[in-house]
Amino acid sequence: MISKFLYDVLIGAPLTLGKEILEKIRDEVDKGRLTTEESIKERLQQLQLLLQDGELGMEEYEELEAKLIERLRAVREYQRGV
Amino acid sequence: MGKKYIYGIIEEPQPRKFGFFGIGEVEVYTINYEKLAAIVSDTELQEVDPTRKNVLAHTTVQDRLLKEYDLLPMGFGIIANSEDEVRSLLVKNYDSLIRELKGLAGKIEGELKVFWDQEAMMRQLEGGNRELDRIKERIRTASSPVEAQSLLMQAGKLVERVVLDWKAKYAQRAYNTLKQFSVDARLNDPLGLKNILNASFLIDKSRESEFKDEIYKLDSQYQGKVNFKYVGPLAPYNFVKLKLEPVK
Repeated sequence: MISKFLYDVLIGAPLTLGKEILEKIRDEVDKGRLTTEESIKERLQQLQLLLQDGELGMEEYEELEAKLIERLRAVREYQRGV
Repeated sequence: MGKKYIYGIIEEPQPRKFGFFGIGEVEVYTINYEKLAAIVSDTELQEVDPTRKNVLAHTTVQDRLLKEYDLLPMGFGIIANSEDEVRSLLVKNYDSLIRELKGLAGKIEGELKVFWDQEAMMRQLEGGNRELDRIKERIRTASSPVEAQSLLMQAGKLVERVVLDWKAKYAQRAYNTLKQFSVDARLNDPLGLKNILNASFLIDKSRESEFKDEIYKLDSQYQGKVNFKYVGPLAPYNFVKLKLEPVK
């Protein structure tokens, strides 16, 4: 899979690495797949790196960050039994 | 007494207010015990959200402290219930904190990431790689999607071979060279497929410019095949060996 992906990247397939990660995060957020604090924090870090590397615009970053933080709070509340 | 957000620990016997602000835009100050001081700001929160703004506030405080002190940095999000709890942390761990601070005295962390350059990789592959040309041609004339998929996999393996070669030739060599200009070094997990080196270096403050010069030299030697990204000086997160005794 990695091999194919590398090749796709190199022959100019539409997906760049950043876009691939972004799509994955967006999908996880939309489908409510992130259920642990750790996984949400990891995605936030990935987003911050993409922003830093210019692979993601501020507006899109903020939109995804807000969704992830909302999810993080829900997970924390659930853990506290609220 | 309210909760305290902790940024790190320094050697400072006098209580200080720093005149700059931390998370929640409130003042950063010290809670002292003998020679040590925890750097804190007040908070009402039980937990701090790891938003970009908060993470930036945390690292900005640490960066500012680093200019003046040797800093034992705390990870993001550490909150103590009270001033007493912070002081107990210093009391309980006093000797080991002093030892750790001495070990890190005069040192900073530098973070280096090396990525292969996409255009350079394309040039490398197009420059007479007959095997790849053959596969490309076969993909064009493939009789079924399954066959095309299998050929793509083969092409990918060729690319992977070049990446591994560059990793050994450029990334590993850069790491070994730069290690000689540092006190300690460690490899971190790569970030994505293009990242062939992700390393942290513990560097003497006095040698940081020499270290950076070496990166420029490597960069010019590698002629654009890989891209270097250096961030520093940072608080030496990756070289803190201390495990704090819990207070509660």
